[in-house]
Amino acid sequence: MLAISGLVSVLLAWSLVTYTGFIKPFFLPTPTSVVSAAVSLFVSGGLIADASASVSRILLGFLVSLAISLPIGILLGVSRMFEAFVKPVIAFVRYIPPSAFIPLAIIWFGIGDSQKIAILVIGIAPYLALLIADAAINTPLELIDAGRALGANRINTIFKVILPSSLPGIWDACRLMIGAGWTFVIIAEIVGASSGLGHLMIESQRFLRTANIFAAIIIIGFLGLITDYFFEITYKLLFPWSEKTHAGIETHYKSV
Amino acid sequence: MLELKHITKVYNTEPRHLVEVISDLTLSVADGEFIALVGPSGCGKTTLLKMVAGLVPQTSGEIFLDKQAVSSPGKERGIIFQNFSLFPWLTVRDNIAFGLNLCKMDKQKKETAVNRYLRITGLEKFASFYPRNLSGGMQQRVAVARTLANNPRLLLMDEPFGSLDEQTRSLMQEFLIELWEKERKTVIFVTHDVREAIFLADTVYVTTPRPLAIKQKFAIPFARPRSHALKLTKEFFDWETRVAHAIATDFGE
Ligand SMILES: Nc1ncnc2c1ncn2[C@@H]1O[C@H](COP(=O)(O)OP(=O)(O)O)[C@@H](O)[C@H]1O
Ligand SMILES: [Mg+2]
Repeated sequence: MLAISGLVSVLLAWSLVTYTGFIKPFFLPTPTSVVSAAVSLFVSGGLIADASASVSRILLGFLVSLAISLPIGILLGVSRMFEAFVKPVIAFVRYIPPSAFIPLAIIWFGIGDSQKIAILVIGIAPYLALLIADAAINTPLELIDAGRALGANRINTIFKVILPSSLPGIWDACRLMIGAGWTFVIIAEIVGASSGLGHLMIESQRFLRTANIFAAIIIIGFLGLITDYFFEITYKLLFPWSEKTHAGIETHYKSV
Repeated sequence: MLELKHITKVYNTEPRHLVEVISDLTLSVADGEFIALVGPSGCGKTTLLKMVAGLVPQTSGEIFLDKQAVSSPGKERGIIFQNFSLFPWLTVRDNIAFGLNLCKMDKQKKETAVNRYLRITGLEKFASFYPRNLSGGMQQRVAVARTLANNPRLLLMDEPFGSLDEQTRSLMQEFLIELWEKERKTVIFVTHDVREAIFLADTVYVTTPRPLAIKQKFAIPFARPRSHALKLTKEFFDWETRVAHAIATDFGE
């Protein structure tokens, strides 16, 4: 309920300043013209093609990042030596904005999908690895001790104690970094692409179709909402044992 | 037979700040003996159990179990921690099966063993529950079952009932004593509850504040099987007074 009324009040304010002519449609189009722009983009098939281009880039870029970050993150979490070796490299890469790699990525990969994936991986992988390491380090020491006393060797400890213990944290990290993926993919598509929502936006700007830009932005917002919802639902399904699944101060007070 | 010979443990906390937690401790525990260690908190009891479990190395001295030097964790030594330490992502059944799942073992045999300990601990109805949905007493029974399923010869228990309410604790003591009278494992039981120590153990050791050392040894003569009625007898009360007095008096008095 609260979630919907938040969106509704933004919509109301938007309607107020546009339908009254307070802000010119060139800067801020009316909700109806944005909807009709979205509908005609949708009907022409352009919107779906661009949205699915961006989404599939994010998914692929994210999966490649996860494949790199999961082993590195877990190793960072369990091995002091590995941490000393790799952490400075990650810290160095992390502080360079991924957009700074775009010119280089274009020289290396052209302006096709692989360049977008490269930018996504550069943007996502270092953070994801650190977040996963953090989740692994937070494994309670007494659980590691309990596992060892029950006969777990080093490998068992990683796969049967540390990994399951950090999965909820890893899931949260994925949710966070997929969201961040939008930032990187849109930047990459704005700078050089022939498809994707970022490309749609820069094209619309060239032809001064402000309503189309808004349509694209709102689509991104909705896709974000869906993603968040997906992670929320799957978190509860995958981790019924987690304290967080049942957390929330309000629900706690209600049950008391 | 478990033998601790001249065990010393020094923790290196801050730079150049050494804390001696255990000082020249020598102790032997016979097979099938139930001993209780009673001492103030922070004196190094948990550290001692973890050393016997092989989870923490001693600074000097040696630990032998049946003449074999202890240097790493082993299935013949099971430890039960103060705050249960169950794996929250595993159900009661899978928690109990954790140790068995680590070794190559016939599925049927595994199943039988797990079911047996579910039954012994009265947890059959809760087999598919996650730990967070259990009361403290039930969680501790899962921890006991999980350790017993590994069939250790030596059982290390670190204030296992310390966080339970009085009534649950009594029930757990009775449960443990029945279990022990059946299985006769060697037990080192750490507690700061004098009555609990006397009720459960063959031998009660009162330890000093940090660094931990044995201050006094009491052989508890009560016959087995023991029941709760014992706690109400005058003899029990006399023993309680005697042990409590040993705790209260300083060295050299
Ligand atoms: N890993 C550790 N590093 C440094 N000091 C520790 C460590 N573990 C325990 N200690 C210290 O050793 C002392 C004894 O701890 P512990 O064995 O837990 O005592 P007890 O179980 O009798 O309460 C405490 O003062 C504690 O602060
Ligand atoms: Mg302790």
